[in-house]
Amino acid sequence: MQPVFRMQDVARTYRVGDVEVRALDGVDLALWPGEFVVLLGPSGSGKSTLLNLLGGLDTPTRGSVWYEDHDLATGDDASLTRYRREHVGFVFQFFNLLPSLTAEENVALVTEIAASPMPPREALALVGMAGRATHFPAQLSGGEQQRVAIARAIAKRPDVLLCDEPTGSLDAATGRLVLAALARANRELGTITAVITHNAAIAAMGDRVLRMSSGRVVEERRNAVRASADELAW
Amino acid sequence: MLADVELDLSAGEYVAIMGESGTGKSTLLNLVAGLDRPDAGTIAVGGADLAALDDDALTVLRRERMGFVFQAFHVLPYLTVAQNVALPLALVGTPAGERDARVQAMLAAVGLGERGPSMPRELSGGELQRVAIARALVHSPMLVLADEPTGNLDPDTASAVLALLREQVKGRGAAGILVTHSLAAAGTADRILVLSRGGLRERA
Amino acid sequence: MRTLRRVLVRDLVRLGAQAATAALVVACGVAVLAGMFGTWQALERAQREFYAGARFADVFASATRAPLAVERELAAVAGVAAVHARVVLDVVLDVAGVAEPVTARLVGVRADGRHALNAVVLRAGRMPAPRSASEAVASEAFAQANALAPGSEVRAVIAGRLQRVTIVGIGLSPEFIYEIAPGSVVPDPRHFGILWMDEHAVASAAGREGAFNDVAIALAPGARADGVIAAVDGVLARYGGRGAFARDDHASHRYISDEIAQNRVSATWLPAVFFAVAAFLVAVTLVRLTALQRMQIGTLRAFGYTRGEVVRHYVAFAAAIVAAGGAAGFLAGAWLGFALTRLYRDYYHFPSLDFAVDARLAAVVAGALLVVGVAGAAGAAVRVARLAPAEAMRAPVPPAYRAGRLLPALPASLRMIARGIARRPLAAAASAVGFAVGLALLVVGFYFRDALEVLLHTQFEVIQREDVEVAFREGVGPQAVHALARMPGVTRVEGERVEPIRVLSGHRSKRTVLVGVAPGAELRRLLDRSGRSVALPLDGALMSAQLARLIAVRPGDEVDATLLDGTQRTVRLRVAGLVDDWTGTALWADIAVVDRASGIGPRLTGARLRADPGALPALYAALKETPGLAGVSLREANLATFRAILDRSFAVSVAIDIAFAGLIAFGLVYNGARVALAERATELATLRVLGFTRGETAGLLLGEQATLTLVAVPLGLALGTGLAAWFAARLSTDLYRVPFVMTGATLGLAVAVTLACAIVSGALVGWRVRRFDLIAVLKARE
Ligand SMILES: Nc1ncnc2c1ncn2[C@@H]1O[C@H](COP(=O)(O)OP(=O)(O)OP(=O)(O)O)[C@@H](O)[C@H]1O
Ligand SMILES: Nc1ncnc2c1ncn2[C@@H]1O[C@H](COP(=O)(O)OP(=O)(O)OP(=O)(O)O)[C@@H](O)[C@H]1O
Ligand SMILES: [Mg+2]
Ligand SMILES: [Mg+2]
Repeated sequence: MQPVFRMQDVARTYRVGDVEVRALDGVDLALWPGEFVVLLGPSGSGKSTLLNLLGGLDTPTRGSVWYEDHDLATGDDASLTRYRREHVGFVFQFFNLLPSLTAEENVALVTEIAASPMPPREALALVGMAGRATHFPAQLSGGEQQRVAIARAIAKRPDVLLCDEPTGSLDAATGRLVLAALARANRELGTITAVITHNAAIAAMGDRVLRMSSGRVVEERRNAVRASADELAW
Repeated sequence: MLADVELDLSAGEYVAIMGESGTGKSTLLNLVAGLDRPDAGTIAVGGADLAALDDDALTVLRRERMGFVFQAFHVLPYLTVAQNVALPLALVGTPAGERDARVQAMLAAVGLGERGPSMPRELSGGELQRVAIARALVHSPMLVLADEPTGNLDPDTASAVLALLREQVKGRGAAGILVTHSLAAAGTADRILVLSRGGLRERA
Repeated sequence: MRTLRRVLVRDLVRLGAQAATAALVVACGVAVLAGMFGTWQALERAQREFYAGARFADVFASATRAPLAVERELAAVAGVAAVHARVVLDVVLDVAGVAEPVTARLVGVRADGRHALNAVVLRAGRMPAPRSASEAVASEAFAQANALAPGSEVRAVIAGRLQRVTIVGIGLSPEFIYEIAPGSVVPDPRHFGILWMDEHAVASAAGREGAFNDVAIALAPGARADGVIAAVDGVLARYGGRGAFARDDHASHRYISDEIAQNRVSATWLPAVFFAVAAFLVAVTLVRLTALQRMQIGTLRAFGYTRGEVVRHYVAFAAAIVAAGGAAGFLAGAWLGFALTRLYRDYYHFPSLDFAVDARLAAVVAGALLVVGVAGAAGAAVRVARLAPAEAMRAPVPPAYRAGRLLPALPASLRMIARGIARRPLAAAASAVGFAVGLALLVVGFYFRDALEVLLHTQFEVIQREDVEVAFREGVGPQAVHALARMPGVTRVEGERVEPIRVLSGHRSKRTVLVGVAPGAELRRLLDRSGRSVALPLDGALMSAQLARLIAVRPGDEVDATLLDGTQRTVRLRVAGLVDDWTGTALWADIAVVDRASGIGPRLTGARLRADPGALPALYAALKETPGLAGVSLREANLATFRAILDRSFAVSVAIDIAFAGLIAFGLVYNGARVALAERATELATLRVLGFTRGETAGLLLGEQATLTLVAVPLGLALGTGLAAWFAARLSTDLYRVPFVMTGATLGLAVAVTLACAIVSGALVGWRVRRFDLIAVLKARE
C-alpha cells in the first residue's frame, strides 16, 4: 500500500525581523489511506503549521510534501487551489465563518464547488445545528459556530479532512456528537482525517497519535483499538 | 434565552460554570460585565445595580474592576503582544515604569516572557489565548471573567494558566467566574455550577 | 457560485454606506458628464444645423455705399459661391414699457425672406409686406425681452422722422444668434435687437436706394477665405469698404463658438476631474474592503475558490458600485441635460436646441464608466490575487511604527490617535486625500462663481465708468460733444473715435478696432494686469494683452495698423503697454493719434456720458428723439439684463457644478469615515470591553478623522487653487480671458462646507459607535 501523504524533511521558518522562527523543523511523515490521525503537542509546537502544509495553504521552506501525485511543496497557486477544491475539507482553529452568510449558506459555499457533496442541511443535522440553519454567525455561540465550521468541512465529503482543534469550544456531549460525525466520514468514505487537539481523551479515537514539540514529531503511537466517540469522556 | 439564573458571588470566591454549547454561558458573562442588558432581573456588581448605571459608569466599572477573557481572544492585531497586555494599565493610568514591569511579569507567568515584542500575527492560537489571559489579569481586577480560557491550550499549559487564574483571584480576595467545558479545568475552581435550560445549578 | 453572489449582495447591503457613497460619487461624475456633454453636443448640433439650414455666410463685409451692380462683380470673384447684398442701419427705438432708449439694427430683407444666404427663420407671424416701411420682423431674443409679439408696435427715429413700426413676425438668423450691440461686451436683448424690414424701406431710410452697405458671401467648396477677402476688399475699396472678414471675426459666430468651446471644457474636463475622483474613491473603497476582508479572502481560497473567482468577486463589487452609480447618474444627467438645454434656449437663439440621449452620449458615458471600473477595481484585484491563503488568514503586517517615541509630550489620547494614523498610513492617506479632493472641487466650484462676478465687476464697475454710451451713425465733428453736454443731467461727456483696423505684426494679423480716447478721459479705464490704471501715451498705442498674445507682440514692439474705413491707410504704431481686460482684442490710443492716422480730421464715432441719476429719465427721453444716433447703450441696464440672463443660464450650470462638488465632497468624506469605522469596528468594540467609554472610543475614531481633516485642509486648498488656475486657462478663449481669482471668502466657504460635511459624517459615525452592538461586532469578526 502506498501512503497518501508523504512529507520528507519538511521545515517551515518564519522570518521576523532578524529572528528566524522555526515553526517546523525537519518533519518526516506518511499518512495512509483511510487513516485517522490525532496530533497532540504544546501550544506553539507547529501543529497548525503542519496542517496548513497538508492542506496546501502554505508551502514549506524546505523539504517535500506530496499528496498522491500532487506536489504540494512546489505547486503553483492554481494547482494548489485545485487540490484544495477537489480533495480537502478544513476546520479552522478560529472557525472562519463568513459573517454575511447564514449557517446553511456557509456550508453551501463549499458544497457548491464540490463534486459530490451532501445537502448543507444534512451536514448541519450531523452536528446538531439543523435548527440554526438560517442564523448568521453573530447570532451563534462559540460552540455553535464551531459546529457550523465542522459541518462545512464534512459536507463536501472530502478525501482529506483537516481539523484544527474542532472541539475546543464544545462541551463533552456536543464534542462527542461532532467527533462521531468525523469518525463516520472517516469510516464510510475512507476520508483521511487529521485532528489537532489538546484533549488527550480524543487521542483514543485515532489510528495513530502523533505528538509534536518545537517543530518536530517527537512521539508516534498506534492505538490497537480505536475508541468510538461516545466512549470518550472529558 | 437565558432563564431563571441566580448567582451570588462574594469576594475571594471562584466558581466554574459548565454547560452544553449554546446554553448561554457567554451571554451570562456578558451580562455580568454589563456588555449586555438582561430582559428581566437584576445584576449587581460590588453593590452597584448594573441596571441603574449608565454606559459610562458601567465602563468605568469594567475598566477598574473587571478582567475579561473572550472566547475569541480579540487581541488587537496592530499592537505588539506587550502593548496589548499593557492596555488595561494604560487605561487606569499606571505609570510607564511600573506598567512595563507588570506586563513583563504577567507575560512570563503565561509562558510568553520572550514574546512581548512579537506581533499577534506571529503567534499560534494557544499563544494568542494566553495573551488574552495576561491582558485580563494584568491590572489585578476584582472580578475576573474568563470565557473558555484554555480551549486552545495543551494540558500542561492549561494547568499552568488555570493555576495563575486561581492565584490571581484567591490571592487578592477578588472574585472569578470561569466558563469551561473541561471538567479538569472546572475542578480548579471552588465550586462548579452547571447552566442548562432549567437554570444554574450546583453540579451534583 | 450562487453563494458567493449572495455574499456580494449581503456585503453590498451591509457595507451599504461605503458602497452607496462611492456610487454617489460615480453618479455625480456621470450626471455631469451626461448632462454637460449632451448639452455641449446639442449646442454644436444646433449651431451646425442652423448654419446649414439658413445658409450662414463665410465672409462678411460692409461699405459706405456700393451700387447694387457691385453685387454681381462680387459674385464673379473666384471662390465665391453666393452673394447677398443688403442695407443695414442702426437706429434708436422707443419701445413701450422701456424707459431707456433701445438700439435696433434694421436689416433689409426680401419679402420672401429666402436669401441665398443668412436666411431669416420665422418663429411666428410673417415676413414684412413688400415695400412696407412700417412692418418688421423682430429677433426672438429682443422680442422676448421686451414682450413683443406680432401686432406690437415700436417707434423709431428713421431718416430724421419718428415712425411707427409694427412687428409682424418673430425671427431668427444665423448672423444674430448672439445679439450684441456694437462696442458692447455682453448681450443685452432688452436694449438691443434686430429688426428685419423690407430691403427697399431700409435702403431709403439709410439714403441708400439702389445701393447696399453690407454684404455676405458664401465660399465655393475648397475656396480659401483669405483670397476672397483680398478680392472683396479690392472691389469694395472704391465704395468705402471697411475690410471683409471671415467667420472668425464675425461677432455672433465668434461669441457662440467661444461659448460652445467653453461648454466643451465643462463637458469634458470637469467630468474628467469628477471621474478621476470617482475612480479614486472606488479604488480606495475596494482596496480597504479587501484589507478588511482578508480573513474571508483567505477562507474562500482555502476552500478551493480559485484566485480568479475571488478576484472576480471583488471586481463584481466594484462593478456593482459603478453600474449603480452609472445608472443613477445617467438618469440624473439626462434630466440635467434636458433642463439645461431648456434654460439655454433663452440664451442661445437657435431654431432648435434639443438635448438628445443618443448612441454617442451613451458610448461616451459607458467608456468613462469602464475606465472608472477598471481603475477602481485594479488595485484591489491585484491585492487579492497576490494574497496567499495562509497569509490572508493572519492579520496584515503593520507598518514599522516609531513615531510614538518622537511624541512623548503628547497626552495619551493624542498619542493613540497619532499611532492609529501611523499604523494605517494608506487608509489615513486615502481619507485625507479624499477630504482634500472634496475641498478642492468645492474651491473650483466657488471659483467659477467668483470668476463670473469678477468679470462683471471689472467690466461694469471698474472699466466702464459712464452711465450712457452713444454711437453716432456717421462720424461727427468734435463739437458734437457740446450738444451732448447740453442734454438733461449730463455732467461729463467724453468723445471717442473707434476705427476698424487690421493689425499686422510680422506675418500675423488680426482684425480689430483702434479706439481713440479723448485726452484726460476717465469714463473708460484701461487696466494693467494687476488692476492699475494705465496712462495713455501721447504717441503710440496700448494693446489688449489677449491681442498681444495672439499676434506675438510685446510692449515696445511696433505694429502696422491698416484702417478699414475705405482709405486702407496704414500707420505704424508703437505698442507702449498692455491693457489687461478680460474681453476683447482692441488697441487704444490718444484720439489725436487716430485722427492723424486716418488723415481725415478730428472726428467722433461715439461718446460716453456721465449724468445725474435723477435726470436719467429725462436724458433717456431726449436720446430717443435725437437723430443721428446709431445706438445708445446704458451701463446699468446692460449689466442688469446680462445678469438676469446669466442667472437663468450660466449661473445655473455653475450652481450645478457647485452642487455636485458638494455632493462629491460629502460622498468622499462620509465614505472615508464609514470605511474607517468598518475597519476598526472590532478594535473599537474590544477597547470598549476593556474599559474605554463610548466617548473615548468615538473620540479615538473621530479624533483620527479630525486630525486627518486638518492635515487635508491646506492640501485641499492648494489642490483647489491649482485646479481653478488650470480651469481658468482652459476656459480662456481669444475673446474672453477667464480671470483667475482666489478670494479668502471662497477658500473659507469651501472649507466651511467641507468641514460641515466632515462634522455631519462625524456625527453620523459617532452615533453609530455609540450604539454599537458590542457583542454582535465581536462575534462577527471578519
Ligand atoms: N444575537 C443573537 N441572536 C440570536 N441568538 C443568539 C444571539 N446571540 C446568542 N444567541 C443564542 O443564544 C444562545 C446562548 O449563547 P451563548 O453564546 O451565551 O452560549 P454559550 O453557552 O456561551 O455557548 P458556547 O459554549 O457554545 O460558547 C445560543 O444558542 C446562541 O445561538
Ligand atoms: N507568521 C508567523 N510569523 C512568525 N512566527 C510564526 C508565524 N506563524 C506561526 N509562528 C510561530 O510558529 C510556531 C508554531 O505555530 P503554530 O501555529 O503551528 O502552533 P500550534 O502548534 O498550532 O500552536 P497552538 O496549539 O497554540 O495553536 C509558534 O511559535 C508561532 O509563534
Ligand atoms: Mg494552532
Ligand atoms: Mg460561549
